[in-house]
Amino acid sequence: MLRVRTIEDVVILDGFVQGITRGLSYPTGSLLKISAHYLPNFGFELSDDNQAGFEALSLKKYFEGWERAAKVTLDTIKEATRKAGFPVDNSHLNVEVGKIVVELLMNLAKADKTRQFFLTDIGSGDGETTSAVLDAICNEGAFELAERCEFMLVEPSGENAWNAVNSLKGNGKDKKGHRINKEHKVSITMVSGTNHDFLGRLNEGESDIIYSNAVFHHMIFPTYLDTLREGLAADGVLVIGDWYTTIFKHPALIAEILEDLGIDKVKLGEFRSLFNCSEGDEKKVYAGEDMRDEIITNYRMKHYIVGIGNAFLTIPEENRDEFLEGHCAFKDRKEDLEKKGFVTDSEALGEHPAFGGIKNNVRDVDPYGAAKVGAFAKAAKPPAAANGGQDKKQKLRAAA
Amino acid sequence: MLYTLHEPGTIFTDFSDIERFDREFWEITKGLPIRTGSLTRLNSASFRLWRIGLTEENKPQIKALGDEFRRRDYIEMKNDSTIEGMETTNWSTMLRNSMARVMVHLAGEVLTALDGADREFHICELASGYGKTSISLASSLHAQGSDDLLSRMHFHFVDYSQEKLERTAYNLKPYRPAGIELAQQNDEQCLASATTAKFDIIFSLCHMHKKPFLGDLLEWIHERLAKKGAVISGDWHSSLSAHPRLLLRLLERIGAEPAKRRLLEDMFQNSLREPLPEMNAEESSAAIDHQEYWASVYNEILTSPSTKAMKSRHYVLSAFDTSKQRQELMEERGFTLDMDKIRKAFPSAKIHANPIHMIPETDRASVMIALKKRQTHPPG
Repeated sequence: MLRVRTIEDVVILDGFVQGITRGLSYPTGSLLKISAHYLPNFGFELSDDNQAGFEALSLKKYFEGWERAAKVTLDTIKEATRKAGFPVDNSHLNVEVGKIVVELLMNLAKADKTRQFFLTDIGSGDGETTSAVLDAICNEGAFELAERCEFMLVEPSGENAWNAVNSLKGNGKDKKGHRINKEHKVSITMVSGTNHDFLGRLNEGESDIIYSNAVFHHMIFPTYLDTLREGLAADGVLVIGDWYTTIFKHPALIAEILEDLGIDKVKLGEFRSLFNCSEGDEKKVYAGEDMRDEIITNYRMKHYIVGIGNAFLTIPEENRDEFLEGHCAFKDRKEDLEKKGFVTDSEALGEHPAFGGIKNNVRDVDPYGAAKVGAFAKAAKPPAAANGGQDKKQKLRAAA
Repeated sequence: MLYTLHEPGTIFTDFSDIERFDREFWEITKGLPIRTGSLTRLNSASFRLWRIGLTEENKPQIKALGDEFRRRDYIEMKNDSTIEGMETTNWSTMLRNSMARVMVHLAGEVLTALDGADREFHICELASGYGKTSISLASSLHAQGSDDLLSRMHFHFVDYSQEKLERTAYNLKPYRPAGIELAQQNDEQCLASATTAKFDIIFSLCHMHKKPFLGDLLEWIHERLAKKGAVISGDWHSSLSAHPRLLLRLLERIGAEPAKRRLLEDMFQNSLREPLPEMNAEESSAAIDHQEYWASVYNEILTSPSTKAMKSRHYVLSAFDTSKQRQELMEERGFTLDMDKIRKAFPSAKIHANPIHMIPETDRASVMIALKKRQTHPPG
């Protein structure tokens, strides 16, 4: 297996993989889209010296993919998603994100009846997640609370951010906004940027709640958690809705996907050789206890990817996406959160003012655990410094 | 042309004349990707303005023809995914998801109010597609840890597509409900033939505006709803289909050639002289919003890089009504939407308004919860 320590090594390895998977309707894309938890399985040797560079290149790869995606790409994926094996989609995650944000808000509001709240939606896209939060406020009848809230939508794409704010706030013309605006003044603003800068726009200690849905599986390193932690108020809470799967954990699992996408046997053999894995190695990946839900989720994820691959046959090659992404197991996300200074355990959260009456801070939307919404409080003590003292934003900018 | 053989204001009552006039009507938008669709798809309350005279004798035939066109459109949409892609905007998706969220919230409140030890519930979703609303309810209950309640819930799905029904069942099974029933049938036929216990909740999302004879469906819903059951519907509203002049405005808006507009003017010259239905500011806004929506779909088609886009067909007219007309019809058919009565039925439920208008300053979309008021005459 090739040892990957530098950007040049990544370019070489990606070149090999892309050569092998050329011609597939749904190619892999860069290996630097895979979660850092699993990169060692692909020969990556991560260190303090190379992480910033890998992270910047990873974000660049994701942005290139998003810029390439046309309406036809998204419509094709949507149609294929409906036919794939997941009972739920992002809209179901949004329901629970909305509900838990409002539960947290109501607790904080009860504790301090004059407090004003600042909420940040990270990677807000078309504004669907904030729409879900506003729906939850309306469903609870907590309109007075809404007037104490200021929402900020943070989104890399300026066009998306602009459309999202118009959809939610109304623009006085054809977009009349969310129904909450009819009688209740809700402040909604936007911030947009390119590449990694959008995270850096959060002001220190400003956000009472930061929420996000189906975004962080595009961040392969947990560095973003440092920025989010800094952006949160002392008693601030991070709410994450996301998808959890280990389908990209090991070359043996990716080989299975390639096989189902119709790669020819010779190329499949080349792929396996590149990563020193053999047919049947996927069984070793799944060896262990309590793997049933993980296996089912990964099977459904594979089915989903292959479904999209089949659907992509009907659209031009230049509009096709790439399938590798930075999903990880929930336990890996939880480990990242704890290392970066967040409280994840529901018992430990019991004393936190936002969590009064909330028995379960992690909620399964999908019966096999593929989709979860979790609420995590900023820990009182910051995590031990592991960055050599350099500001994370500075590091990202230097690497860009 | 049939319409030229008769006086301009003639209202057609003979079914074969209606069919022929309908086919002539299609000429107005022939060749355009945006098309009128059949007159039999319109709200039956507006038929007269569109020169259809509804009688006891022709009603079953008109209804059957409308259903047939709806079924054909459904198959066309299934075979050509660009149709839905073009008609779906981020805004409409967001609004539809928002309606589903409100409906799930209302259902949750009803279930909580009615729940008792070991009580079983029957939920029916009409025109269910992939069961979005019911699955949203199931996933929400699962997320809350209410698996016990889920295990006592029977879900019933009604849709034209066997494939979608099977996918819905496959997706719902992991939540382990008490039962899943599938009916590949027309909604009224399904409700008429249902042999299960009565439904505690009937969901309908973005469906009732497709029913020219909505009153008939409502009567069957009333018949099949449990005594304290609720019908929870989210839907689009508009007056676009209520008067030929509003269709004419749409044709002007999309820049349809003068010959097509003249054809519409010739076919409906008497109706065009009649005043528009009375509309308040929100209803007026909804009609304009609806026109703007179709104008933007048309523009999307014209500028699409896909060569398939111009060949796909999109049908503008359907059985839309205003939210006020919908409420009135529901009350006429034995339902109540009165907040006092709803609060009395579910005292601790968080239901703050009814109907819930989903967008400020326009009647374009609403969610309603309705309870049975009284026993009406048997449907059918």
